[in-house]
Amino acid sequence: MKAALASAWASREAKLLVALLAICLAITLREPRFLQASNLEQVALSGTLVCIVALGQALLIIGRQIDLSVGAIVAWSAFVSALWLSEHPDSPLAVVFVIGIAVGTALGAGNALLAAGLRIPAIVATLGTLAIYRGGIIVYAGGRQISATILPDKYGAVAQTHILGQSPLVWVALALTVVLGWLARNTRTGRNVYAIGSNPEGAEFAGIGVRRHVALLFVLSGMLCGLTGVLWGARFGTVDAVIAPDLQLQSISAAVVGGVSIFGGSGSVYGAAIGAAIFVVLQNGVQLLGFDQFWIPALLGVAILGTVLLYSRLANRSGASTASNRSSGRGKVAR
Amino acid sequence: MLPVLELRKISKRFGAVEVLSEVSLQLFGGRVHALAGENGAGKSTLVKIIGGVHQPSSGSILKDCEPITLGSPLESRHNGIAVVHQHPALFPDLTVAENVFIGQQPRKGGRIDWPFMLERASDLLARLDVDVSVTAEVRHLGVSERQAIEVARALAIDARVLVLDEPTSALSGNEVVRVFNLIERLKAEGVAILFITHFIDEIMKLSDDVTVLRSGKHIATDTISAFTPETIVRAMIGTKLESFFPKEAVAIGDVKLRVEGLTGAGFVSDINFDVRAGEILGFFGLVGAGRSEIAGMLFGITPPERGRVSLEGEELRIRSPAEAIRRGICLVPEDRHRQGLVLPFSIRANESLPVLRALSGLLGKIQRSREEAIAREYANKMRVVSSGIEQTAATLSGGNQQKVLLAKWLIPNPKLLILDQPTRGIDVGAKAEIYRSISQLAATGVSTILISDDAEELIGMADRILVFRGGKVAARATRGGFDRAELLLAAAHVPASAADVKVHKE
Repeated sequence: MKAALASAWASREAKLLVALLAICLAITLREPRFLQASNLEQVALSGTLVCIVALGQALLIIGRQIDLSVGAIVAWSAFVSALWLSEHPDSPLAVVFVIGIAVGTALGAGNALLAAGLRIPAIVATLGTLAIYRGGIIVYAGGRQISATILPDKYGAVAQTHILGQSPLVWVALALTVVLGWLARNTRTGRNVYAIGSNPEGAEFAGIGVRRHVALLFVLSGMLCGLTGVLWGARFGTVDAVIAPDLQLQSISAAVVGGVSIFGGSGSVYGAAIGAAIFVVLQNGVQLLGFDQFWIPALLGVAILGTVLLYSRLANRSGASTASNRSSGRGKVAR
Repeated sequence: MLPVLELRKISKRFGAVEVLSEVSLQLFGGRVHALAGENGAGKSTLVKIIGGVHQPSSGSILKDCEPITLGSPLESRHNGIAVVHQHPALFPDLTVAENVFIGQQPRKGGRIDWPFMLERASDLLARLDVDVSVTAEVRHLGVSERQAIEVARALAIDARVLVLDEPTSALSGNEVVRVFNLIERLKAEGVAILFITHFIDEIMKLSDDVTVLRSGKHIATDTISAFTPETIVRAMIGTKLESFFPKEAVAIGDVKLRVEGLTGAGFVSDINFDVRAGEILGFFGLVGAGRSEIAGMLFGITPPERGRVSLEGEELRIRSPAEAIRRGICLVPEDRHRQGLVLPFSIRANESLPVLRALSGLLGKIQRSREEAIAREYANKMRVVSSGIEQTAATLSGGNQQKVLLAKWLIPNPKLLILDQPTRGIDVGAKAEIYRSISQLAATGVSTILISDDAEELIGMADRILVFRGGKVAARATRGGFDRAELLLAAAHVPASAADVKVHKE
């Protein structure tokens, strides 16, 4: 048990958590308003939405895939479920969730069909569906905007109520992180995804159904985007066809900042979740510190590159110190 | 005669480990000097010192009897030393001429002097008697031609010392002959050649002098006439060879696998054979004869177009490796880095990959203690040398990686085990371990197909041998009637080599 604790402390996730706390501390020192409950709640709410999408994105990247269409899928799910609720205000929320998740799953299955079925490289396939899905929802929505005023209050309450002092969204994101993280690390399917990401040909030769796993990852990502779409509407109240335009880059950034190798085969779901937190804290930080809003994307970019550079330096240093250290560090990939 | 390059008492330490200890070597113009030794004997370290990649911890290097230092690969090149690596590091999308002059393009007024470069490249290739267009893109060329381009690159700097690091390990029969001709030519031009190889035959055929290293120490240097293949191998491994091929007499049982009219992969047609319980069936042939393709069809990588395959009397239609494994067919693939192992994974995770289903319980959770137990058992059985089952596969030596790969495919308890070049590029000691395992496995009644380029290996291990040529069975032989010359002739019948050359030129 003690050894398990020690190895958990030495893990890359522990280092990322320390980095997250350090960033929070630095922001607080310059701008104490960061710690105000209302601000932290906003950060947590934005973080959860990016986090849930980043979980699926991280698993895809670990399996040497990528999904550029996540933002468009979220828009579809959010719009369709909000539209349905506006037309059927008495329907239970569970139905709304089922509809949103079904829409996301269907669009994820579309990606799966292209990437796994027709063997189109994931980046090309989802570049295509990014345009198709986003174009489709813009046409379907026809400029309509569904605002909080025509939606029943119970919808917004999903985001605004508190359970144990936190929005339910935060608990949902945490639960998904823990469950998916555990599955990725401890199950056969999780191990297979790492094998596929490290060496797709070798995985095939080991009897792993590579295309089946790739399809599964895209469907899972679509499902998570579907859920995020419903939560998006609950959080922001107003939904139209152009929401979440940057979500693909945000989710990829979260995964990469969280230590997921863009070349596949290494990193963890937990890391991606912490990466999402780092990402939204930085975003919030640059806003709070009063930078002109037009500077914010550039500053975020610098922050992301800085994090990744620092991270790779640290990884190199620990890798160079001893061979055994390196092998045990790399061995974690397989766990 | 004075040596062109001389190494005097070179030692090299990495931390506390001494990988070379007081090794001396003299290279003479117009002579081929073979360097023999097992993996880990220090051959590659010595090559890297000559190539300027590593600096010796002590000792001196002399060129034309003058001390020199080789502080970087560039400095080595300036001293007329060229190293040709085992896997040519060429640029597939560039032309032959650009590859020959990469990094040292002749220039005129700041721009590349194309006419001059093309002419020089043609001259160099003509000197090597290689007939390829200098404007062809390298990706269209065969392996032996790529090797020749590496050598041409070395000649472009007027190398006086040429180091060839296992130049033939990726080549098939007639391509090897072309590389040999090339070496003879350079030798006649007075170049001093250091030749590293695993093949004892090549040493006997090609070299003038031989140096044997073992565990970083200099064991013997003499002219080739002072050695026999047996004395070289003995010097390499230190102990007397008992029986290099530990084939056990096994009672051959009933037919396990029956293959009729197997056709597919574009050129493999109408293959018929069977394998009995406890039998080792050898597949001999040149690269591209169709042997690996047949393995791929049996294992579900590329399902066959036609033909019947039955195992233990039951007809199989295998569409995927997963299905093959379920039916009891396992394949140890040819390329252990790309197809065999997941290099960033531990020994444990590599070994368990094909059997995770059996090792996982509720929700697909992998049962770690069972996984560890089985990985440890088979790593021990294969005598994998490592710091433990958590060591990353990428950090193992080639021989140990191959042992892990074999362990991985013994765990599913195959009825039929297909081994595609299981001993290529690994040292003598690891080879012996692998032969021992194959024999033991056959003794338990497992049927084995052993694919190899090495006739000696098949003669030593197989009960029957099929020789393939151009996707067809060209000859069959049974133990007791094996004849090395006949096997080679059947595999590389004269028209086949002519056809091969033509394919490469297209």
